[in-house]
Amino acid sequence: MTTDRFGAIVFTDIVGFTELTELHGDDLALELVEQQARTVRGLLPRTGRVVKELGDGLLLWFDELVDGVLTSIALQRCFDGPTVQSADTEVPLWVRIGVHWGAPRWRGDDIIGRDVNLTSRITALAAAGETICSGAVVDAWPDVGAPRVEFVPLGPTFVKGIAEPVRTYRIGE
Amino acid sequence: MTPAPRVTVTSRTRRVSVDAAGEGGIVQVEGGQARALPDGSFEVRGDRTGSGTIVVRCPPGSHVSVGTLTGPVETHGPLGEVRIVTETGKIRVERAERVDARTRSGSVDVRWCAGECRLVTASSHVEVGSAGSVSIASQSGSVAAGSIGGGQVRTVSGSIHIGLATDPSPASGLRVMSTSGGVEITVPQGSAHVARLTSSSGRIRSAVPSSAVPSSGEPGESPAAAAIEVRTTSGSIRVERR
Repeated sequence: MTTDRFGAIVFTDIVGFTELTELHGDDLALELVEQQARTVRGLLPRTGRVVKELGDGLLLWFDELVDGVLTSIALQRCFDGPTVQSADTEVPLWVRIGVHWGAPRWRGDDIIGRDVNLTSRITALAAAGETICSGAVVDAWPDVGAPRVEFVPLGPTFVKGIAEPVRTYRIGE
Repeated sequence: MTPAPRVTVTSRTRRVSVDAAGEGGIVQVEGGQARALPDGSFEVRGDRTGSGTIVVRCPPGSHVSVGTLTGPVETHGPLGEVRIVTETGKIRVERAERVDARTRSGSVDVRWCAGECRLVTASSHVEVGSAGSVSIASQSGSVAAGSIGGGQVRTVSGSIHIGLATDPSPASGLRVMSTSGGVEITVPQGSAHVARLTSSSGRIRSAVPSSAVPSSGEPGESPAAAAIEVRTTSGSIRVERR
């Protein structure tokens, strides 16, 4: 295991995946997952990559914070609109996204540790179409040289397994 | 005039009750410890070993943020901006200028919100008495709103019941999306609403004129009409006048 370098950790998660699979079957579930993966891979900058696929979600890594946040915003714009079709069923692809700035431990190409757990937990706070980030993202956001992004505070947030509350923000348009 | 204070309350498991009945800039706390911060705001923490309710009394119009893991949160009296995040606690807001409230499984009940009311849950029931506009997202929980100006509501399987307020402006449209949840919308008699309703397999009934285009201002659409756009996959849609 190696330690150290900071980057943007991003989770994407299909909203209502279990219910949609139950309602519309495995073929639609497969198409939802594939469309999410295609969209993400199509928008990744050179500094970003898919760490791993997690059933109905993806764990992403970005060397640059700005790339992680801007890619998340771009992803939500892409997901807002198109529907996924399988046989005669058409459903929207709704995705929630969480972003955190941290230094996880590396195990080969995988990342693990508190920062990854925290990212997963704050992702669960997001509604379909929303991106939620931690206070670490806001603190590390460059004052100059980066596009203006609106970070709307949600207040102190307790997440399971982490003792102290963390600051969370909704990334606005 | 003293500006309304900002109050932040955190407690993992205890019930939090915020009462907008204080006077001046005074914030009083029972069952927790309050600390005044240099920027003029107040931070309230529940005693680690304590139990029971944390009661916070603050002036009307105060801006309040509350974070709990399992503790329920309720507010009484007129507040400014209210932000609540809890994992499983129930949420009840009596009166606020703006609301952002999130819970995984606790129910949400907002009685009156002047501006935007943004509510997010996974499986619990959401109820709004009256709001200027809403942004509500729930997976399987049902949504009921008595009187709103417009906004957006999304559920995966939860049912949706919306009452629209009188005198809509073209800007105060309503966008509702659900995959399998049924949608019922009630509009005032004589209001200038138009509807664009789409369901793959659900039944559609509407008492308002249909619109071929989703947004107002398009050719052929009345400039005075507020648009109701509803999309479901298998849920039924009913728009009626009260």
